[in-house]
Amino acid sequence: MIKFITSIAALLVFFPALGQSTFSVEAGAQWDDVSGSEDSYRSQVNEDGGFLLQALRYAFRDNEGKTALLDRFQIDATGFGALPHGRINIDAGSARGYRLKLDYSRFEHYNAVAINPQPEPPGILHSVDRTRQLLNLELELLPQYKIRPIIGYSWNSYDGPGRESYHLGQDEFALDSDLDESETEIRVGLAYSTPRIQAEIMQGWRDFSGTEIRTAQASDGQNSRPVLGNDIVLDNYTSRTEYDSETPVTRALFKALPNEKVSVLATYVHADAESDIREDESYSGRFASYRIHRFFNGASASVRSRTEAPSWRGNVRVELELPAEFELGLAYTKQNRDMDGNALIETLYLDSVTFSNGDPRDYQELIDANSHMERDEDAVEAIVEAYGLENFRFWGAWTTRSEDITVDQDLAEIVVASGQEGDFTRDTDQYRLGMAFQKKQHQASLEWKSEEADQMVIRTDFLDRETLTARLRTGWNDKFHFSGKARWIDAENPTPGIQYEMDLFNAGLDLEFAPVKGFRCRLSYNLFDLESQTSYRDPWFEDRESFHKEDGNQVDVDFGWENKRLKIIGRYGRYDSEGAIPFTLDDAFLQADIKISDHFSGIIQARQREYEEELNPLADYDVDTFGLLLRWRQ
Amino acid sequence: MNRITLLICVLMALAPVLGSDDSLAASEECLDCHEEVEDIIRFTVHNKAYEVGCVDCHGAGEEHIDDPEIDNIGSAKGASGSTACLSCHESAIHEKRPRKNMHMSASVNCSDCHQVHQDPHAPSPLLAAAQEELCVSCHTDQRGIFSKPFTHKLGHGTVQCSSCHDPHGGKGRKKFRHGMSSEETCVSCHTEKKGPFVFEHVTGLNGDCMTCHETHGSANPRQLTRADVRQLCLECHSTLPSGPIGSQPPSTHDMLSPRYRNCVQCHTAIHGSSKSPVLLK
Repeated sequence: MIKFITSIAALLVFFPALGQSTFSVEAGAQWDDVSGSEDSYRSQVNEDGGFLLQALRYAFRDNEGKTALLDRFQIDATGFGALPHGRINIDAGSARGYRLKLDYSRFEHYNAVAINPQPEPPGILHSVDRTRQLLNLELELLPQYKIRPIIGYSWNSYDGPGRESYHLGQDEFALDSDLDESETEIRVGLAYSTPRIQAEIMQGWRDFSGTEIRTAQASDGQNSRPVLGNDIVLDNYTSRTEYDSETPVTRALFKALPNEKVSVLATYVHADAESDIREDESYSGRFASYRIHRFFNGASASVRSRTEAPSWRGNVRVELELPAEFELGLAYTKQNRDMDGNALIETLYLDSVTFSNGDPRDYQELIDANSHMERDEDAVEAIVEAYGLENFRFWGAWTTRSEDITVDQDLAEIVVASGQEGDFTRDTDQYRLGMAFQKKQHQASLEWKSEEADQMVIRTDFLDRETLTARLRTGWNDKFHFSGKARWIDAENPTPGIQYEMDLFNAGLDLEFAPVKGFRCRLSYNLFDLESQTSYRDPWFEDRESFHKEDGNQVDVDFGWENKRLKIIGRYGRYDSEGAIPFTLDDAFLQADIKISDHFSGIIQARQREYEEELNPLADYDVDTFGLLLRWRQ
Repeated sequence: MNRITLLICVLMALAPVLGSDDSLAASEECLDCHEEVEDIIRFTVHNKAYEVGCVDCHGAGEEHIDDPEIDNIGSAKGASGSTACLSCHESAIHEKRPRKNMHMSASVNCSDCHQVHQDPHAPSPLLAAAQEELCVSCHTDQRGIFSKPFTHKLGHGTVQCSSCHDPHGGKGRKKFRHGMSSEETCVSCHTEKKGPFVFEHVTGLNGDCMTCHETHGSANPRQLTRADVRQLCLECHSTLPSGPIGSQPPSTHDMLSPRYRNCVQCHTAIHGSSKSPVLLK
């Protein structure tokens, strides 16, 4: 970060003499006071105390051509320090040389939900505390030419500790995990563009690799009672998993506008993913396994697996403008995925005996599994749209999709859960009808959508689903705005065993007014009513019903007031649900922006978040955040 | 971070290569009277880089010059408001299909969002205000949605409305910037979820990001469409006696137990994995 800030400072000194530049930064410190469940707060929000870079912008523009190789440069950054997500965007280039775009993001990813103690006794959570970083760079050369080379580079990493539970025989133990994985992709390609034709072809090479090391402390595991008269004990555990995959990816895009009434868009993606996994584990203690009907004192296991997954996807879309203000759109998409998997799993159980303490020996198990799955998907879409009829637009669309999946099952299946060999097809039709009205600030629209599927394949959530959406927006000068919207969704899958039903109603009203210059106020009310039920099978092989209800209300208000020296922003929102997981979240924010001089302002901001779960007070938190920042504009 | 530093240094090293291209084409006769806009006109990118002067947008206006009371100056208002802009930005006409674009109608035109006579030191592309303020001034309901507890944080130049939507007429019904579907738009930033993976989850045709996420804002963490992650998963992965192809929760998962309330605590690679068929990593 110090190097980065130094570089920005150097830019500040260096560039202004060559063109127009602006600079602004908001930075300072943030303090927070967390009471209640820190796990819950960090899983949901994860802000912290300390340095905060709230906003940074440096923009340089040379409209006079003084710098032949760089006539614009803009950097924006936000969120570094106390916030869980920081991002930098850089956009630079020369009108006659190149365009460079660079994005960098950093996410602090924490997950440990307080209601999920795993395994019992409470206190052992499935949790991750990891960092993801993303870097994406795109360099386009010679933007003024019809044919332009493009070079791209992407990198992302995900690393950090975690905790999980794991079965060894018939008992479950907590493992500590240390994960380190990264992925890089290099892309090269060519773009071609004229006013009527655009085309782009990119070839990328992606390389993903990672290592996870898991260890466990000696423990008694989840079961508090002996298994068949034997105490279950773990003395030590280690495992190491290494994995890598290589995926060459080809992407192509073609867009043509033969005349003003016809447009053609075609895309194609082809990828050949290959993945190798090597896993070795060993553990010792005293264990029992119902699967091999034995007690044993430890085991060593190795897994070697390889998967090949070639896939391609093509799409072509034609839009025709017809006489009398009509437009016709036709699209066809085809997707194919092929997956071959093979795994060799060797497990050696040490010092094993039968449950009756007979036949003492080391017991070896060897599994050689092969599986294959092929998946074809086709989609055809037709849309008719009428527009320009005074202030009205009308549209209607029909889309049909067909999925065809073939699975060759292996007795020791590793790719698809067992018992699912065969051919599966699902055809889905979607219909849309809509209309919109617009005149000055007055707008209204209504759309009805219906989806019908003949079979359940991949997803079980609906065979029939209807959606109705209505929107209204109006206003008076710049002083008053009103908008409302409502959405109904009704979905069902009456198949015996599934009996899925989902009804959703969501409506919102927004009122915004600015009665005098410098003051603005907004009131919002939203309600969210959802009922969803579906079936699942419990550990005793009984089909049961999972019912979920959300009866949510959201009220929030915000205002802004400013004069020449002071700007105040305030916001308060309350979100509550009386449904299956009753919760209340209060979120209040206040910021005062005080102008100190033409170049400097002081910012004071405070936020309070209070979260309560009625059925699980362990998850409640109350967090006050206070920030003091300085803005410098040049 | 070192890569970024290196890049900035390279750009700085290239910058001193000086050129000279003094291009001024402001209409001197106009500025004789309208001197209050002289600095603004002279130093805008339109004038400096492309030699666009007053008469290029407002017309020659000889009668107005002879008699200032005669107002025959072209105005960027109303139904014809975009005409002057599009006469140069011609590629936008063909590419963006203005006939079906609400943002190029009589109600909304270029000058509603762009300010040609803007302060030359403002860095944005001639926007009349910060982008997030501009968009919600018409799309008023979005201010409330983006005030929800879990949302993309707009502003500060990094994530903006135009990061996903093309106000000049993008692709598909939502005017996406990067593709016909939300999936392509989302993964343009969330590149680690782009795939193709060895083991996919959703693949576009069968569902997309918005099947599970409310992209503009939600009362639920991770901007999910359900407060209960378990239910969100079960709606597509219900258990069946003779099932569809797919990955139903095995019966060892006791969905009555609170520990199975949040599936993604174990299935962390829910967006796709190159390692685990059941998306555990």
